Amino acid sequence: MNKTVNINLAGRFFHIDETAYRTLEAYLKKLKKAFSQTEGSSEIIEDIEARMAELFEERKANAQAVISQKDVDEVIAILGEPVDFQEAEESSDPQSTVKKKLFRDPDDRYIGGVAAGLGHYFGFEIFWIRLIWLFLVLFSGGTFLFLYIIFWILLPAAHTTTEKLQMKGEPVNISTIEKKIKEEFEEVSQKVKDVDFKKGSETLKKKSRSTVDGLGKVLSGLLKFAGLFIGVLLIILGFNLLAGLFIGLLGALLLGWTLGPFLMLQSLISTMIPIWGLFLLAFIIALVPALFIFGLGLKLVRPRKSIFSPVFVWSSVLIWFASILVLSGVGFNQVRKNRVESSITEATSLPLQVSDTLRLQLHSNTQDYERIVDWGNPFELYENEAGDRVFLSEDWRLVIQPTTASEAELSTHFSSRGEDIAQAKENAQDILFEPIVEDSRILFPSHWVRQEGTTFHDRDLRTYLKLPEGQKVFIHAKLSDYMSWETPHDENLTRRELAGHLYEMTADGLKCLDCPPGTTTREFHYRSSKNGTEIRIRKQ
Amino acid sequence: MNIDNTKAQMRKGILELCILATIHKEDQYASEILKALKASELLVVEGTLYPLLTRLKNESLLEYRWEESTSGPPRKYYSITPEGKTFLKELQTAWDTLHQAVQKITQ
Repeated sequence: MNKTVNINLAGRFFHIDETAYRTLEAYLKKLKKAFSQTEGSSEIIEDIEARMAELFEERKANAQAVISQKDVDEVIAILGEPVDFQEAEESSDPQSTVKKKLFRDPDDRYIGGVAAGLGHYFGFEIFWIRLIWLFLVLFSGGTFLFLYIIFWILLPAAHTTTEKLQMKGEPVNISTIEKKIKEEFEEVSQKVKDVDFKKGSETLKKKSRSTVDGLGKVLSGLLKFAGLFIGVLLIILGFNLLAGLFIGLLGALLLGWTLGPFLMLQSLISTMIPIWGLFLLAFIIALVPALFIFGLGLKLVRPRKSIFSPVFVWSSVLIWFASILVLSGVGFNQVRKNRVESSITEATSLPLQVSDTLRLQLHSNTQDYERIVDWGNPFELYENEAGDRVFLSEDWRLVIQPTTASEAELSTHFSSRGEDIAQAKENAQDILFEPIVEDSRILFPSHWVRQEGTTFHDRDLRTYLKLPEGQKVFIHAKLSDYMSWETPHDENLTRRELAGHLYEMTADGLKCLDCPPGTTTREFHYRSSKNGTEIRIRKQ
Repeated sequence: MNIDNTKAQMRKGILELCILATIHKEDQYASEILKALKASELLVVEGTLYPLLTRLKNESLLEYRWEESTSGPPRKYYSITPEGKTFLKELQTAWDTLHQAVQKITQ
C-alpha cells in the first residue's frame, strides 16, 4: 500500500505515488539549482514542468490513474539529467567567454607539452615559447630545466575535448567544430603517412612497457629535444647564410652594376653569358644548400609542418645542378681559351750614330684620360674627353742588352694566351704600346693601352733595346719603375737603381759612367731569356 | 578520443540552427519542436531544448504567444522574429560552408 499525493503540475492535476513524488520533487529541485545562474531560469523550469505534465498525461490510462515511480523515472529519462543539457547550453552560448585554463598539451609536445600549453594560455606562437624556453634552459644553468619539470608535474594534461577547448580558450560553436574536424582529419592523414614510423615506435613502446614503463617515452623526448636543439642551430646557420647571400647579392648588384667589378670580370672571362648572369648562377649554387639547411632546421623544430612542397624541392635541385653545369662549362671554356701562349714581336731598327748619346725618357700617356675605375692594375679603366674608354696598365719592362749588329734595335714583345696560337697572337695584338723615337731620344709611354670590351688574357709586355758596343745611353730617373733586372750591368744596382745614370754598352752589358766610385763591383749580370739560364760574369 | 563526446559537440553546434529552421517553417510549441528534433536524432534528452528556447527568446530571435488547447492548459507557441530570420540565414550559410568542407575532406 502506498500513499498518494495530489499535485498541480503546470496547471494540470495529478495523483502521484508518494515515493514517485519525492523523486519528482528532488528532480525539480536539481533543475532549479542547475539553472539558478541562468537568465530566465523560472521560465525554463515552468516550460519543463509543462512538458512533464504533458508526458504524464500521455501515460495516464484514465483521469483517475496514479502516476507511479516507473512513470516518473521514464519521464526523467526522456528529459535528461540537468548536467546532460546544461553543459550543452553553456558551451553553445557564443557570448559566454570560456575561461582559459593552463594545461599541458599532449597533442603537440616534445617532452611534456608544457611549452605548447603555455603557448595556448598566453596566446603566443608555440614555436617562440619553445625557442625562448630552450635559450633559458641553456643559459640559466639548470634553473629553467628544474622549472620545466615542476610545470610538468603540476600541470594536468588536456585529454578531453572540453579540456582541450578550455586550454585553447575556444568556445564550442560551428566554426570551432569545423576547425576541430579539419585538425582531426589532418592528424589522421598524417598518421597514415607515418605508418611505418608509428609501427616502429609502437614496438618500442611495448618493449619499454615490459621493461621500465615510460623510459622509452623519456628517451624519445630527449631525442626530440636533441632534434629541436640541432634544428635551432640549423635555422640560425641557414638564416645567417641566407642573409649573407642576399646582402652579398644586393651589394654585388648595387656596386657591380655601376661599373667596376662587373666590367673587370667581364673583360677577364670570355663567355657569351653576361657577368650578372654568372653572378646569379653562383648565387643559386650557394642559395639552394643554404635554403635546405634552413628548411631542415625548421623541419626538425616543427616536424608536423611540411616546409617545402615537393615541386619546389625538385625544381630547386634541378636548377642547382643546371647552374653548376653552366658555371663549370664557363670555367672549362675559360681554361680552353687560355690554353696556348704565344707572342709577337714588333721590331724597329734605330739609325743612331755611335757618337750620339741615346736618351731614354718617359712620357705619361694618362694625361688625356681620367681614371674612372680603379680595381688594381691592369684593371684601371680610363676615359678620355671623347668618352672612349680604355684600360691602361703600367705593367711593362725595359730590357737593355748588347748586340753584335751595327745598328741599335728596339723591339716590343707582346705575349698573350688563347685557344690556339693564332688566337693567342691575335689577343696579343689587342695591346697598344708605341715608344716614340725622335733623333737620339726614345720616349716610352708610361702605360700600354687596351680597348674596353677586349678580353683580358695573362699578358707579358717587354721592350728590348739592343745596343751595339760603344753606344752611350742615359736612362732617365723616371724610368726606374720600368727597368728590368734582366739588363746586364757592371754595378751592384737593383733594377730600379739602373735609372738615372749614364752608361756605355760593352759586349757584356752596360758599364756605368757616372756611378759614384766604390759601389762598383764589376759584376755583370746577364740572364739569357732564350734558354732561361743565368750567366754571371765577374770582371776583376 | 570519446566518439560520443565528439558527436555531442557536433550536435550542440547545429542545434540552434535546427530549432530556428523548424520554427521558421511554421509556428510551433515545444512538444512539436521536440518531435521534429527527436525524429532526426538531434536530441538525446529533451531537457536540452528548454534553456535554448529561453535564450533564443531572450535574444529576441524568437517570440511566443499563448494559445488555447483543446486537450489541456494553454500552450506556448513560438514564432521566429525578423532578427531570427537574419540569424538563421547566417547560420545556414555557415552550415553549408561547413558541410561542403567536411564532405570535401572526408570523401
